[in-house]
Amino acid sequence: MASRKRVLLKVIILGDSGVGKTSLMNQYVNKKFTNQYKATIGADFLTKEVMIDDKLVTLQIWDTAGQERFQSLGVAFYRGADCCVLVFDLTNPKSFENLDSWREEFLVQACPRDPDNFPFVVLGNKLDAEGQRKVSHARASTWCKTKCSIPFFETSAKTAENVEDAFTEIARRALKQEHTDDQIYLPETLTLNANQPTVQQPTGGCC
Amino acid sequence: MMEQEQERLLDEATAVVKEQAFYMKRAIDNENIRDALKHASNMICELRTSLLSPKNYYDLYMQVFQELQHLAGFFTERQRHSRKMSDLYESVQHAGNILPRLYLLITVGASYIKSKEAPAKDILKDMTELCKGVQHPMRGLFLRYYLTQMCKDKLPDTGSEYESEEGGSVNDAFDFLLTNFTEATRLWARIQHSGSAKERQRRERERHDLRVLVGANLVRLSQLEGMTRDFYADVALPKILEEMASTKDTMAQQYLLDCIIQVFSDECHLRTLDQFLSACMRVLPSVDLKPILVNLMKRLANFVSANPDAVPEGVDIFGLFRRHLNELIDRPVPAPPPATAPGATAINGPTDRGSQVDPSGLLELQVAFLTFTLTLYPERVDYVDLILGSTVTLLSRIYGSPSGPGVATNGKDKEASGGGGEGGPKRKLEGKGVDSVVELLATPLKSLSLSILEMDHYTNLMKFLNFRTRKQVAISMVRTVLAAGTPLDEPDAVQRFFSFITPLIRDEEDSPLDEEVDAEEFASEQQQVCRLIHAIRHDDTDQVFAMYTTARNAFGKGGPRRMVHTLPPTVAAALQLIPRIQQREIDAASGIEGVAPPSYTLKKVFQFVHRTCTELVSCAPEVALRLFLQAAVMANKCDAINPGSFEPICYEFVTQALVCYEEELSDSRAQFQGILMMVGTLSSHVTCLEPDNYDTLAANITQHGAKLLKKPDQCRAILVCSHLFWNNPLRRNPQRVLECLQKALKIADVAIQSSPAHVALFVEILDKYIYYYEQENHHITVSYISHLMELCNEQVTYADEDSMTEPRKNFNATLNYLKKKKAQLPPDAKYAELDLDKLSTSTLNNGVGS
Ligand SMILES: Nc1nc2c(ncn2[C@@H]2O[C@H](COP(=O)(O)OP(=O)(O)O)[C@@H](O)[C@H]2O)c(=O)[nH]1
Ligand SMILES: [Mg+2]
Repeated sequence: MASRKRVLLKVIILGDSGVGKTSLMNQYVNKKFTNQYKATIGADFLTKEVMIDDKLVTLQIWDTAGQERFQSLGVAFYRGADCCVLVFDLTNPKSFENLDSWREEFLVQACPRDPDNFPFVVLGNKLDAEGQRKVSHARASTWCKTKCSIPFFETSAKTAENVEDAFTEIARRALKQEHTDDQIYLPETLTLNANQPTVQQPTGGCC
Repeated sequence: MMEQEQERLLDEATAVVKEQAFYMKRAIDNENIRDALKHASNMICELRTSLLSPKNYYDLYMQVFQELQHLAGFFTERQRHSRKMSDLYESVQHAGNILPRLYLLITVGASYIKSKEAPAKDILKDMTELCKGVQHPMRGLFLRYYLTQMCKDKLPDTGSEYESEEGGSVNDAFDFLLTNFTEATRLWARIQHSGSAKERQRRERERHDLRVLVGANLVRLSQLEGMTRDFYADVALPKILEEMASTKDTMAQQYLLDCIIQVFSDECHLRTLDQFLSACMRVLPSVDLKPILVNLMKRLANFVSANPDAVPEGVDIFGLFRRHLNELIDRPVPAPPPATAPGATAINGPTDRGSQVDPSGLLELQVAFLTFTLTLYPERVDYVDLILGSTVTLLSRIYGSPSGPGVATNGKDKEASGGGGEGGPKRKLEGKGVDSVVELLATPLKSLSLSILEMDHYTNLMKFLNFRTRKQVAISMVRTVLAAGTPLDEPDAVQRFFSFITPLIRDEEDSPLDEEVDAEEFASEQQQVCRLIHAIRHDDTDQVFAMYTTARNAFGKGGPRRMVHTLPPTVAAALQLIPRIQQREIDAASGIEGVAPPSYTLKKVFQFVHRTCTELVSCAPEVALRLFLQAAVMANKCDAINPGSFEPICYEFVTQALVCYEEELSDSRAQFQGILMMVGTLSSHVTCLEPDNYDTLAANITQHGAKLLKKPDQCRAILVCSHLFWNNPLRRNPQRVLECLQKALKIADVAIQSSPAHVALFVEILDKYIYYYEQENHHITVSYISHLMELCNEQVTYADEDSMTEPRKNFNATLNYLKKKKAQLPPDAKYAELDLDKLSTSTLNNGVGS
């Protein structure tokens, strides 16, 4: 049986609103940056094809709204993530302090099979605004070390500094995770001659 | 439906999706497109349910969506399925069920566009049209969500690879998104009318949950490259607003306005401010505009303060907001509202809650507007005044005019008043709105400081507050002025300032009664208030004095319990001003250039002091007495520079001190202190008096000393009075000094009959004799001293132990002093005749009388 050629990796970006999640994704996928601020509503993704160690993968990157009120349908999109990116703003200590709760929230909602070894990556964004930095490199990397050595990058969505490197690492981690997660499901009705399974009649009214 | 039931349904559906996805992916791996489509269709069928709640349906949708991505990937790999995209697009339309059919159509359609085998705009239009086939609100919303999710990166947007002559332009991309937005909005709004009235509340809650599916369309619109400011202003926003208005639905209008603000850029909002605000004014009255406008102001404040040049020419941000907010204020007070949708409270014009009209929502809006204005225009006092004025208008409509007649008005007091003391609205503001008004009044102080004094509406606004709140505002004003060290340097401003802080300055109709006032708190407030006197500063003494007069007039209305605190510092400050005025008078008289004679002359200031002290006489006589004496000393200083001119004034002040003593001091301790103060002042600091005047005063004071209630007080007062006849070299009278001492001795003699402890008096008298003897008062001879020493020695020896320690110590000290004088080389000739030896034994052995 030939394996599907394509690997689809799902990555979730979380963090307070305004830290630059949308900007990072746009910089990475579209190589664009804007100073304009437009709030994200709900969750949305962009895809990008990348080569990771000679393997072609499709990254499906989910950008999310940092504000609860823009997430009225819940966070079902966390499910099936292969890597979670936690973003904070280097010039905003509060956004750094909230990383813990974002991480918790993700683990609770996404229910990864092995929460202790689920891959996270932390990005300290707005590196270009070095003058207004409020969270030191040491402070952030110490926190990351205490959380099972989460890789930590300082990035700028504005200048693109470190963005490529960070996402390559994210993709690599996601790929590793996908290998451990994949191909576990076996339907109960699976038989050697691949009989058509019984399909449940959908409930409810007409369309 | 029960939570568990939902969970079970979702689990069952999930199991089917997983299973069908498994087979679908296996078919993909085998490049079997027919089976892949079949299993995909089976999987999608799970989305036909009507039983799941929106959140659970979304959960299921996400699973299906995720699996369909594998199918989409397969479709784009032409070499694997080797079908023409148009054939594929055609073939999926044969699926039996409409929902799977359309999901598959979209999945293929997205790949079709990507293949560029057909113009993007045609495929987009076709799919959008076909999706109309699903009119069930929730299923339809998710289907459209899927459509835009799959196509958002395949639109013929400006600069996109799909933009071309045939593929279409940003107009087509926009049409696609707008049509889907419109359809989604309609599906969403329709939910409220489906099903029974009983379930209305649940439906509305579910509808609320589903709103992101509508908002997502606006996000996509805002992400279009071709969404230039002009395109937004001329094409996009009018269409969006039109759709918003046509929903005639509170929740939809509320949400869409919020979304527009959040998802489009600040540049866009600045460009369309009037358009947007006008639209806000036209929404249903049940829409709560407060959070919407507050968010808009927050965004713009942040953005414009960081990019002041971003404001387009001719856009008057303040004016636009003001005009539209006033429109809200001017709306008629509504009749009690019909039952509104849950969670929606109208802040769109004054609202009626039962019998009470509640302006709190509008007041909060005014606070937000003020904060916004102060951020953008930190210098514009006039803007602040306009905002306060609008607030007054709003409150007047509910509570009555602030200048109109009040309930219990005598109408006499026409003076500017910051309080609700007289006149003003019939009722005071209560409840939630109070905090907003306090904020409106306090916020300008933080940045504008005293410039608020130029505002007309400040006072009027305060009239709507009850006493406690007015006082709160007043205290914060005083604190701010003191903390900022802002000089009070303009008479009009001071006048105004004092009218603003009226609740601290005097009693008003609604002031609490005396017994309800916490004394400590009251004192601390008054101390803050009187520190204001020191904030009065100006180079021109006339200006300073005018401001003191204003302050004094205000304080004068405060009643005794305030005046005790406020008037003394006022007098002290006026006295300190006197040397400056005198210097000015001199400079002006000697023709120094640029120095004009003061309009407020020294005499006027002394009159001011006199009047102010006189007011204190009845309520704080001790303080009044001290101040009269200080004034006398100041008059004396003036007289020294300009001899003869201030003698009458000086005499008058001391006389007044004496009158105050006579008429108001009843406590014996206070009387004794009064005598000490008068003697101290007159004997040592007053030199200008005419001899007759001086003698009259000295005699009077001495008589009062002799009439004190307690003997020891009498004795000590007379001793002190002796200085009245000695210290002033012009009025020195050695004989009168001696008489004083003898009189003191006589009183001491009487005193000691009642208590041997009064022996201390003899020692004190002895010391006074020694003093004058050494001062060479020739009426005092060494024999007096000698005689007194014996007397003291005797008393000290025979008196009982307890009360004697102090006097004995003092006496021994005196004895030692005199011994030293005699023993020194050469010995002090003055004491040659004094025989100390006979005293030594009995006293110095410290024994218990033998
Ligand atoms: N200077 C700077 N600004 C950034 C950077 N990333 C984002 N921003 C700005 O921060 C604001 C919020 O960014 P956004 O991506 O919308 O944040 P999100 O809410 O986390 O998605 C926008 O105004 C961006 O222009 C960065 O790396 N440097
Ligand atoms: Mg965002």
